[in-house]
Amino acid sequence: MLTLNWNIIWTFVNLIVLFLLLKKFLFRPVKNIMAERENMLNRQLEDAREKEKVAAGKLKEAQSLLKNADEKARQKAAAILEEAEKRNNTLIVQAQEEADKILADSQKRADKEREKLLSDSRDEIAGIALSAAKRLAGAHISQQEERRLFEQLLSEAGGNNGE
Amino acid sequence: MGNLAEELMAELECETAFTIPVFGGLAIPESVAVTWLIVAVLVIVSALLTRNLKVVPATKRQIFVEFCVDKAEGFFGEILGEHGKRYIPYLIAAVLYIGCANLIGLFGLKPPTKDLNVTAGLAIMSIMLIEYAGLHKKGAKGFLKSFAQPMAVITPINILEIIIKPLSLCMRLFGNVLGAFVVMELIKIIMPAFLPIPFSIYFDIFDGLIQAYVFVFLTSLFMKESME
Repeated sequence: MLTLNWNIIWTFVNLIVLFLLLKKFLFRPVKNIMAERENMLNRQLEDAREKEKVAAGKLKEAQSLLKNADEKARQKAAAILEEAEKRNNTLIVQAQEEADKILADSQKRADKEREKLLSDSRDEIAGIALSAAKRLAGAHISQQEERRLFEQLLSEAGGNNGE
Repeated sequence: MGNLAEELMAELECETAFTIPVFGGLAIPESVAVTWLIVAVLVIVSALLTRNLKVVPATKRQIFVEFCVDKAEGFFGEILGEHGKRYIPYLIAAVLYIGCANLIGLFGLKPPTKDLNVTAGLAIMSIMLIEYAGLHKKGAKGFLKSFAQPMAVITPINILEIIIKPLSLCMRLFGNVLGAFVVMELIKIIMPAFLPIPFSIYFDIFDGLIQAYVFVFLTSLFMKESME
């Protein structure tokens, strides 16, 4: 019981053997796997951080692009509006001109019409007057005289009309 | 009563388990044979527990073994600090061994810690580790100087401590196991059935584990002290 002897050496040997075996079969595998996991997690974290950085850069790029696009679109819209206004204006001017022309044309045509109507009616009146004069004067007036009288009548009529 | 004393003495006798026929017969004490059994069981269990571990744990077994190793390392790491990390595996091995040795009485085997040679061996290993830790940390000069600290007067006491520390470690463990064994035997004489159960839970399980804990706890505490 209370005897110390050389068997104590067994204890040293056993303990050291147990320590070495446990180190090989318990601590090393567990530590290794934990270290590996930590490595993996660190790598993934690093990866994620990298990706985040890239994503942030891309976002910035996209935002600037968007901003540029916005600016461009606004400029384009403004240009189109300006163009449209210009065209509108020219169209209005053209229309005005056309309308003026049409008005002028119709005025001219109406004038011509009236002149024609006037001259027609003048001829008719002359005819009527001639036939009335013939009836009044009988057949005493020669062809020439008739003509002259008629002219005179006409000019008188014209003068009275205030032409 | 004389009969009981004889019986107890017989129980405490370190018998020879078997003899290996080399060097004219190498006697293997019972405590050594049981220790071999404990070593074998511990190694087989840990080999089974650490079989094909995965980086991403897939089994409860792996989570359990990682949890245990992590907790044990955390416990000793807190005491020992950064410099003592390299001694943690030995301390875990020691606590596993002492715990198993104290509990193996439950399976009808004689606990190896009831052999003074085993507890003395454990204590000597501990003091060697304690002094080595100090030597490794401080260097030879610093280690020798540390004996004269905090003042030169107590140098003899410091030197004496090299003996006292392992002696107290050894005797505490041995005395607890021996005492628990004697008390249990006495209780069994009073009433062999039922009564020993709660006492057995205390003396065989609780006390055995507490002593294992105390042994390595004090060892790590002394190591920390010697490294400071």
